[in-house]
Amino acid sequence: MTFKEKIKAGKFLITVEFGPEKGTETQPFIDIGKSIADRVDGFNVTDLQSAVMRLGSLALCIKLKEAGLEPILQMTCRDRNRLALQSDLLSAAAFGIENMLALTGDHPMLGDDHAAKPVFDYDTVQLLGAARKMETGQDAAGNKLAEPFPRFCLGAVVNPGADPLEPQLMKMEKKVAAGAEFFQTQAVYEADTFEKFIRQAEQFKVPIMVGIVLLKSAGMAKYMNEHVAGVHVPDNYIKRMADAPKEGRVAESIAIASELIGKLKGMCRGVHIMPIGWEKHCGKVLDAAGL
Amino acid sequence: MVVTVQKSREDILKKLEPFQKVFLSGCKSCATTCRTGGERELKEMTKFLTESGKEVTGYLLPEKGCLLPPVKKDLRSLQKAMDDAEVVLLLCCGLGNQVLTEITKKIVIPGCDTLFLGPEWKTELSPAGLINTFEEKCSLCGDCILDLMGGLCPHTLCAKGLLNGPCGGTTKDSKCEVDSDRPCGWMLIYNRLKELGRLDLMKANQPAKDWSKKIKPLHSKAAV
Ligand code: SF4
Ligand code: SF4
Repeated sequence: MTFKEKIKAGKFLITVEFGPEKGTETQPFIDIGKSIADRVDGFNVTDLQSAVMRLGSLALCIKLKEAGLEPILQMTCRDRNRLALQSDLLSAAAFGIENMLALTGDHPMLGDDHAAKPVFDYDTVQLLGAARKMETGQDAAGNKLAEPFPRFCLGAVVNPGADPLEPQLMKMEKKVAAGAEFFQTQAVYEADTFEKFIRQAEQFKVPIMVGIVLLKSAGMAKYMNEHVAGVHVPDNYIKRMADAPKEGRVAESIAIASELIGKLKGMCRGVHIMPIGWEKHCGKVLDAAGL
Repeated sequence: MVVTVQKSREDILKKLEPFQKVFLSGCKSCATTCRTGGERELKEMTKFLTESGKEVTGYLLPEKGCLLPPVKKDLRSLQKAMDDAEVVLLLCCGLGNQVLTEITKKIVIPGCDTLFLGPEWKTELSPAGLINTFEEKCSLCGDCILDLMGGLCPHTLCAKGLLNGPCGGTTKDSKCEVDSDRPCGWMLIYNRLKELGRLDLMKANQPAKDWSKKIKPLHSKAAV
């Protein structure tokens, strides 16, 4: 079953995020992907995450696809104008990749080459709209596409911890109207925050997958609390990570992630695990969470 | 107003290195307000250049450095000083520079950097005296939508120029992910539209910009 078919079938969805290296190595991702493929419904591949120049999302998606895995192509609006975005959508479709997650993308000022020109010709709502239009045989400008027309399964992101939440919800509604079929959220660490969000987002009747970012250290948790918008790691998790001996950190992180998944999975349609470099531990997270 | 800042004295001297005789020019409008090329700054620059061993052959201070016909007229009485100079140093914007270059066909060295189009927004008393603040408010997109945005320009106030609402990077205190000193433009728009009871405008789908309206160089005419 494809990811789209699973969404339609009402299955509980599990996705894992891969962040390509600043280089050409792809095999470790393929090996990890294969080891958990029976339990994972889709593998997101980030698009120059944190605005750092690196291997492209499409390249790793193609490799995953060739290895029999189900890739989810992440596309940001930061680096490509509307021609390049649509062309890459066609390229993805030509390789049989139909899942696309639209993101705004971090500004180049957050990355490793501040001199780069930010593009943002489209925003996410416009990108989703263009992809939907291509399915009808037209590009964004209304020019005809040659058959066969591409088919997409379109996703978007939302930040449940944003304060105020209303602007996020307004944009979420626009993304749904533009064609988003599933949502993956920013990292969630607090069940009550997520519950409040879900109660308001339910009205859009779109599958929402809760974002789980593996905590790697107390320092990382504190950094996120200070710098990552809408993310709050409660003190007890920070303390548990700080108290864990160095060799026990991975186990503690997995324990926290699986507890969170246990608390949150009943409120939504799926779990999206973002291991941030700890891809190899995803299998253990799934084991611990009983997924 | 076209907002400028002066280049550093070091940069200016470096650009002037091959030249000895310099003609100075400024502007009584924007560059005077920005304190980059008014009477005071031209005098300061004359003093600095003289002390640095250059010869200032004369200077021009037009009402508006960006209006070619009157600047041309003003220059007539200064023809000799201009002819004597090997180079022109201009303390105003890139428009003033091109007006002077067009008239004189000389190399006009930009003594200022042209930053943005923006109003003088506030004047505050500081230990250094009265300080004017200029803020970038319009990116000259060629298709104004301020009425849909509560009078706040998303092309300019949002670092990404997003048209359909905020990105996920707005910080806890409603600042932009790019710079914690800058408010998130979309939070400004949201708060303003909420105040106006017009959040319906934010819910409306904004199409992508038509950049064909901005194919450069543009020109326009007006009857006198
Ligand atoms: S929308 Fe913004 S950039 Fe465009 S003309 Fe209006 S103020 Fe200027
Ligand atoms: S934080 Fe706000 S101003 Fe900055 S890029 Fe995002 S939406 Fe635009």
